[in-house]
Amino acid sequence: MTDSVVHINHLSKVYGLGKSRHTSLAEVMRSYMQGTKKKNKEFYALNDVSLKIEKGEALGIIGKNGAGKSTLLKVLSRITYPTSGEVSIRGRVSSLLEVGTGFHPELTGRENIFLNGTILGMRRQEIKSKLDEIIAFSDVEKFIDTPVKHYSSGMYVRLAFSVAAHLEPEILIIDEVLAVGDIEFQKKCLGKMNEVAGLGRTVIFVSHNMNAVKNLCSSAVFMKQGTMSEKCTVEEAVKYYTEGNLNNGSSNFPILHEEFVINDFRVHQKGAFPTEFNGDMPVEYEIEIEILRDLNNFRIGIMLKDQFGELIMRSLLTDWQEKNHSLKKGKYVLRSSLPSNLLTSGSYYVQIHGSIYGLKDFALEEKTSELISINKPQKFNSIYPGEVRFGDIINSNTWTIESN
Amino acid sequence: MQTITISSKGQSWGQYLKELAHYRDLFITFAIRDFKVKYAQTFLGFFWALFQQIVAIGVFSLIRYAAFDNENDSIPVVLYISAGIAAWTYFDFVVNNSANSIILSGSMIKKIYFPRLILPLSKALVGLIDYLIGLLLLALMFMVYGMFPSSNIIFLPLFILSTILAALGLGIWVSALTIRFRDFQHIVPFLLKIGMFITPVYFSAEQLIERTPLRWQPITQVLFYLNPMAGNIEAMKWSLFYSQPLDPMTGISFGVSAILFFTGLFYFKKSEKQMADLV
Repeated sequence: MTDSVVHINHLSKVYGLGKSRHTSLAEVMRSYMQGTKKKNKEFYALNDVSLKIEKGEALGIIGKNGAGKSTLLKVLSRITYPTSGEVSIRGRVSSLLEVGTGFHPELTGRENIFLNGTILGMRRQEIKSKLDEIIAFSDVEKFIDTPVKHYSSGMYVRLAFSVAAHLEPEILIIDEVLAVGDIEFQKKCLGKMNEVAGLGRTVIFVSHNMNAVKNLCSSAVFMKQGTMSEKCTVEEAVKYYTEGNLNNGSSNFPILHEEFVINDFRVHQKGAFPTEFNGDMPVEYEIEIEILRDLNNFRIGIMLKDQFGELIMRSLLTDWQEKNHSLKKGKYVLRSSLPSNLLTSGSYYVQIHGSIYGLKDFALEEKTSELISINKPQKFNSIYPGEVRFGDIINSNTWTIESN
Repeated sequence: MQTITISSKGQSWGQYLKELAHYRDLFITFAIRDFKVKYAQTFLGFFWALFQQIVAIGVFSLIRYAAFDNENDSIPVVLYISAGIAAWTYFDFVVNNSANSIILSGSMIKKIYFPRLILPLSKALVGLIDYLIGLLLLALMFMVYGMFPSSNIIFLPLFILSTILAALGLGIWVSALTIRFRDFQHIVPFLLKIGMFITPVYFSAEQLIERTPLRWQPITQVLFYLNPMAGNIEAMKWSLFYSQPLDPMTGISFGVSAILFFTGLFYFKKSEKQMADLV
């Protein structure tokens, strides 16, 4: 008898592509009268995935968007059912695919604690006994009897998270829920979760935040197009991920539009594609584009976003150069960079933005998204014990001090 | 330690019912949520529920006076109608709210596991508040007219139970169907509106059958009682107002109610596996 608490055995999940997922009566009648059922193209969100997770293990699952991570968590949480294969789970499972699931805006904070808690599988009695603790953890005591529609988004998340943090599962499944709330509170929650993992409980953690995975997990797997790597160390998985990102990236290109074709997008440092970018040097990027007809008011460039997808900065070709408002037909390479000493350590997205001002947004962001991990500049003195809040941007201007 | 197995086959019935029992607190919590949102958040919450039923009683009394010959009535029309309204209001609430319960909780269903059946089930519980208001109104009416209910009233709980079964049965059916066929979002309110006029809320089965040509009477009777609420409301009125034996044809409605409920459970469980993918 092994000690594995989660045993995933040749799991697959197939979605039909192309048809609208909820058929209407009209469609059913049509196919009935024609006497045929159109065979749809199939898409394997999970393709023959097997894995054993031991008791007390903290496993990170990393991979690009659409690699099947979320589908896997949904199957493990019994939200959706697999097409074939089997999972057996021993122990009480709590899954946090989102915090604040089921919160009702008209109800007060206190009422929502009960609502959300029972949705997460807690007993009313259990919640009652932990109520004071939950309220204290959330830091919103003052407003606990106010309807949550009057809460700020920060308060909302705090409350939601403190309910989740007081679950006592044997197996905890977490998806990106740390992607909300301020850093201080995230830290507190990570601490609480570490505590959970430390108590011999099992944690399955999906995140784009490589630092969080490194901090929390003892092992990891890497997912790509519905398949899963062997279990390995977190460092190895992160390496796969970063390399996979670069290799995968090019497969998205060319991106075709009526007005232009984007042939390639590279984010690099002096021509190299490192796992972690050096904060002391500029981060360079290039866009290869072919314009198919003369374009006016064409805006192209990059958007810089933090690990949670919040826009930090934009940089467009037209930002400083009026004449680039119109581009003639032809092939171009656009080059620019992020200055050195700009960002604190962490993960950031660099994405292409393309639009025609006031007319059209080509929505290139998701398709071209490059996730980069940046190390803080060597000289930047960030590390004081207990200090967690820096923001994303480093001010490279120094202070002067003189006695007065 | 509990072990769960997840596969394409879904859960066994035993496991399914065990899960339902395990999540009974959520069932209560959903009902409390709906109750609070419906009654406690609006200043005149209870008043509105009462007001709606009073207006309905008024309107149907008017129809009754206009459309039927009321000389042989032994029961005051208003009293008679308020019994039907109480039961129909409940039925209408449960079916209408169940129909949308899954879709409206779509974001929840995509993010967390719980037995989805809890959603329509909790609607059946919340609806009881309206039912209770209706019954209180009815009791008040008895007092105003200085009348006493028939001794058959001891059977009333049975018919209330059957009404719950019918409402829930249909509610479970349409909640699962609406996921797959959005058309039901339009069909259900429409059918309920029509249903109110062909259900003996403001008339009696007898009145209708009497006016049918003789050779059509048996078939009319069967068709009439295929509507689960027809028998339930007839029986309810019987338990309140009459002492002669209950028309055995009402049995058709009780049968339909039970069949709706059990087939509904079966269909719901089958579609539950795909709900998160479809909503």
